[in-house]
Amino acid sequence: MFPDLSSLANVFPLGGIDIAFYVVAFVMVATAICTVAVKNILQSAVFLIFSFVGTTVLYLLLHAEFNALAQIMVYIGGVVIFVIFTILLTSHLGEDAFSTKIPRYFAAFIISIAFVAIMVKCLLPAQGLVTTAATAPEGFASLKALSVRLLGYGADGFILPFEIVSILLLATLIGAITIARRGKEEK
Amino acid sequence: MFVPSVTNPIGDFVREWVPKLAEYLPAAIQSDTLNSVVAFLVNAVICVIAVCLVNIGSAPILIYMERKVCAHVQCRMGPMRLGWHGTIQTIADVLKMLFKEVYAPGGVDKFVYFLAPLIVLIAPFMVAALIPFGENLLVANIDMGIPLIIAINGFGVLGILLGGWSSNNKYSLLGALRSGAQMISYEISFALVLLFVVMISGSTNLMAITQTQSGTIFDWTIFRVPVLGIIAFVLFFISSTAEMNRAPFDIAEAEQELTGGYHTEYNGTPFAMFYLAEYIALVTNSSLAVTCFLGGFHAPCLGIAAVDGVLTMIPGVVWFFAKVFFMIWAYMMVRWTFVRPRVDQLMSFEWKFLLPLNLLMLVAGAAYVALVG
Amino acid sequence: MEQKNISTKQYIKEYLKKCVTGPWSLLCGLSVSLRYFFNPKRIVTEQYPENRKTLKMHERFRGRLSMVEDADGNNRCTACGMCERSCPNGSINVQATKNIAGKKVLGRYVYHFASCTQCGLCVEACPFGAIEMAPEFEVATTDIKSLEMILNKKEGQG
Repeated sequence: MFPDLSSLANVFPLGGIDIAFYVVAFVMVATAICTVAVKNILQSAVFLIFSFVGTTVLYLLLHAEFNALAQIMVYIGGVVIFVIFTILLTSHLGEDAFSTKIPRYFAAFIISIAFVAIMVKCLLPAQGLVTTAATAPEGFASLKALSVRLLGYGADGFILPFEIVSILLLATLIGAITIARRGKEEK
Repeated sequence: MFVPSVTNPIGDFVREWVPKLAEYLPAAIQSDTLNSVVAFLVNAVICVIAVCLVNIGSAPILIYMERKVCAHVQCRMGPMRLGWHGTIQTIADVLKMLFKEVYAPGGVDKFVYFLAPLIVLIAPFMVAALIPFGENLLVANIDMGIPLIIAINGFGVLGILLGGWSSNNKYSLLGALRSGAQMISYEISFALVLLFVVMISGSTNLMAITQTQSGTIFDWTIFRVPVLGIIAFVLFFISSTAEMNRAPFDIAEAEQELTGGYHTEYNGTPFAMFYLAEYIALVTNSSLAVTCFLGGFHAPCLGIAAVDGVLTMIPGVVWFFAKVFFMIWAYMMVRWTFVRPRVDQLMSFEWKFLLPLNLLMLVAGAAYVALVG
Repeated sequence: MEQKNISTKQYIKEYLKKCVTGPWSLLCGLSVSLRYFFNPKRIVTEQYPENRKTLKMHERFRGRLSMVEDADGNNRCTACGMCERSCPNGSINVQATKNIAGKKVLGRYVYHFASCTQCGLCVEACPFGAIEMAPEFEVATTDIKSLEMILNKKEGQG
């Protein structure tokens, strides 16, 4: 009459997290397929958002909170909005120019199937992929641990790459301003 | 089996009572797993109801308050007919809006059109779950409070952009693009001011930020750091007004120019959701201001023992909501006083004034923490 | 936007000046609305159907046309017809008659309220101040015939 809950625990050794992983993985795959299959570009952008949200949830299930937030900030708050802005600015309202056609349907399908097969073949033998218990210590990827490592001076610190990246970003900003200014002066 | 748990006294209470009640069930289905799963689900439902109650319940109050404040600023009386001083007016309006036919104009992208109002609601609801309304009244006590708020705010832009585009209307698209540019710009100042708060209080957990402000009124972030605190508070006020798309930064709607901006084509329930999101954002942003700057649920003690004794008798929730409604009133006064700047003025204000000032504030705050704190 | 050719020093000076004057002007505006908010006596809205008994229309309100009459009901009209000629809509019809002395006096002062726009030109045209715009404003009626009225109770004295 009632399902035996103890057998459920054998199928999903990590309990709620395991079930959540399968649900999220299914949603992610479905939305990723929708992203490429939908005719309307803006709708595929929307499905892309859902796919990214799925990635965020996966990071959260792995207790990598900072990665999850970075995923939201960079991909949803930055990349997707940039993509949508580009679509809105380059297309005309009310026209059906948004719809895209995927050429060579069959070839694309074969290539993606082959890619998935290779990935599965390469990844499955990897050790530690199918371990059930979390091996990382508690709070390994928390904000404090992450930032201490990121800005650490020691052997496992990343202060130098961090600063180099910030200089790169500054250079990008200055470059963007220079390009924008030049365009204005020519007018 | 791992089951996530909600850590607060209410959650403990549920966890204590679920096994006791489970003893009445037939012995065949009794198990610890079931108990913990049920306890988790009950707690989750309580949390969801609490968040919805605070958010949706406050919307009619705020709409009524907005009408009254607006009317009194403009030498009018506002709604007076329905109920005592028009108190039931808002409920009548909400009912009217809910019973309207949900209708999409021709040529709209229906999927995106109906998705946009849902996306807009994500951010305010999630932020409301992070705010500590009282000593024990907190849904999610997570270490990533401030980064999560900064990250989640991006969804608001997304909803407005999608809603504006999918309406198949020039005014909507213009409003959406303008407000998208505005919100992306002001998000930076918003994040930087919050980072200033994080630097002063030394934590990204909203509960911990509140706890660092316990004590007298001079321990609140706004007064603890001389001058800088007040400047930071003003900067937060400005950038959060822009984040909420409220006047004087209501470029998105701009009734006079864009006939309503991104929600021109919406009606009925989807429009009500945009409207609701706007007012919930008002609550959450005021709560954020109270949590970060005005001492959260702590009473405004003055350091005089007799007065403090009386003030601390009042529970923290009351203080919290009193402060929140003061902040909301301040937002409303600003809305009905100031004029809307032009789009280019708005952008140059952000990039040429707010952002440099914010960066200077961060440097000054770091110097303060290094030298004094 | 106009491009001004100014030096960097001047630009910075202007910028800093605006940083002070801008917030100051905003505070001035805010003080005005705060004053209005905390001063309920400034409210000008009338709660009309409720305060019907105490409601007083202001002096210069132009309602229905009426005749200035003294306590005995005598009017000052001489039936000169100035008001009839000044009326743009032809709402006034002054019907003169002759009294016992053979002098032309007012017989009936017919007023068509339905076509009157309450412009007040007749009041200005009257050389004797015999007519005025009454402060009545609840003038709706269900009978169109009641809109044609005779304003004078007595014949004119001349």
